Amino acid sequence: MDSTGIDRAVAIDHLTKRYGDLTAVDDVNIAVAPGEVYGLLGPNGSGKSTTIRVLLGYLAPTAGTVAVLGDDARLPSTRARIGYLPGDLRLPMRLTGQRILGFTVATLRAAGRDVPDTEVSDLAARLELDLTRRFTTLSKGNRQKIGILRALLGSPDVLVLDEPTSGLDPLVQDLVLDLVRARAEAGAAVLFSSHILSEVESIADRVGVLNRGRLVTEGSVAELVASAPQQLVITLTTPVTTESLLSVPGVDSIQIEDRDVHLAVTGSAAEVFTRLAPYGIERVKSAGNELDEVFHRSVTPAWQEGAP
Amino acid sequence: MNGLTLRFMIAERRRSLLGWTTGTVVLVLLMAAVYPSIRDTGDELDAYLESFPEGFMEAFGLAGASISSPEGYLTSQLYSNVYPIVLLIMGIGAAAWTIAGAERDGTLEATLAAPVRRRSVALERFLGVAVLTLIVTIISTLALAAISPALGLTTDLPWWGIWAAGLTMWAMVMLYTGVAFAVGAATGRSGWAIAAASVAAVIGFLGQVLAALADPLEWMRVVSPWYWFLEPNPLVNAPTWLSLAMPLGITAVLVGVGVWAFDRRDLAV
Repeated sequence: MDSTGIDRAVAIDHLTKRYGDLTAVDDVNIAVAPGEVYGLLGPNGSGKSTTIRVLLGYLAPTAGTVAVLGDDARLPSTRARIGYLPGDLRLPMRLTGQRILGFTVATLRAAGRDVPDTEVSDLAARLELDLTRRFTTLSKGNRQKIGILRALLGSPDVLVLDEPTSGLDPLVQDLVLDLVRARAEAGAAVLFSSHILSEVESIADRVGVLNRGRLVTEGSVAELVASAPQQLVITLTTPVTTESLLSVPGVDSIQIEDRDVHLAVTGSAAEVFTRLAPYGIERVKSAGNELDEVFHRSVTPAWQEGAP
Repeated sequence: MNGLTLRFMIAERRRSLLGWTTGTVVLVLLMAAVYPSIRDTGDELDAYLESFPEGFMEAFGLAGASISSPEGYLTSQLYSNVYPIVLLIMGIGAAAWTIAGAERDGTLEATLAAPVRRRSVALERFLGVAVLTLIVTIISTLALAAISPALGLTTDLPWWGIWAAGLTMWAMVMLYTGVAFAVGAATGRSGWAIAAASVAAVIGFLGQVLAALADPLEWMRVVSPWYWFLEPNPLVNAPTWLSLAMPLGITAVLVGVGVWAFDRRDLAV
């Protein structure tokens, strides 16, 4: 709960959005608490951007309700507390970064937000961004940096970021994630959509997976990771047979190649190591990303549906 | 409404404003520069034009004045056609872009992401179009006013004649600009906005011309904003409610409808 007594900075309740016969978002419930980072995952067309656009008031819900900080995101007083980065950022091409951000600062101040005079230049310096250049002359990465800078202005209480690290080099990706993390530590609620699972795993407290408009999986990163099988490759000094591992609880699959044992283990792998210890464990390697596994289990591509 | 969106929108169109202003000033000066040669051949030209039907003369702004007079020349060669048409192209294009075009190209999001009410965004962006069109009108009128004495274009005209004509012309342009804005804001489609406003402007123009040529079509004048603009002869008479208040009043209604619809519909940003 934040200082204003709000325990759900972002509240999406039974949200449905239809376009004619197409249901883009189907009865989705998402809540993000102050200080929490919520990662929204999903393949293209799963409804992530539509959910965000309804939340911000660009689209009206067909059914259900949305609220940011307990209010309508379209109200200037609420909007001034939201930092938003769209998935496909397009800003006026002929204006400089300074002019674009100057407008944001002026509107934030007019709405009562405190934006220090140095905030733009400080953030620009951290992001190594030249604000005197026209938007049209900037690379994709630098354009994205302007969008990120804009979203962070005025120390927002809610950050809504649609694929924020798209187009950025790895160093800047880390910097952006640090800035987002810092806002969350300062109490901001962060709704973060991404395709990069490792990125979500590194920053999110909770994750929701959308597939064809429905929220098919949700939980804390720790819970989801724990629920997914670990992909292990254990190299032994002495070869082992499949039969000796069949009765180990949690082992979903076994494949043996010479002295390498490939295992998928759900839950604790302690018993596996106990059983294999007599064969001499030389090396253990984690072969997969658990969140990746959760994602793939949750999302069935349409072309696979109904396949034998 | 605090004017921030209006200023941002004008900044977005700064280059376009420069181009349209330059082009319109050049056009107006070129048309004015031709006047001395028309004046010098006045008697022959008037004799030739007198062979045309009265309705034809009236349709092209030569009802009460000779083409060799400043009033007749400016009305028939500038204010009846090219001058308002240039401003209409600019105004309709800008009005179609200000919501619908910017929504489609995604740049409207730059404004909507800020803490401003959606209806303020729409209203201020229309006001931006009105200001841009007014700037072009004022500067081109200023250029015309500056060169007119040297070309003998002020003879028998009150000093404010050119300014009154510029103001009422701008009011007429605003009406069609309002059509483009309303359609664009309500639908998010700039093509529809341009088509609707262009068709309305052409019908209005034809209504004014055809009504002068055929008595049974007289009623078409009543609903033609071109007639409201030209009939009072703005170069010599002060603006009337029909030439100023009527188009601006209709514009206000159109803008109100556009803002209302824009505030309620799903956006494609």
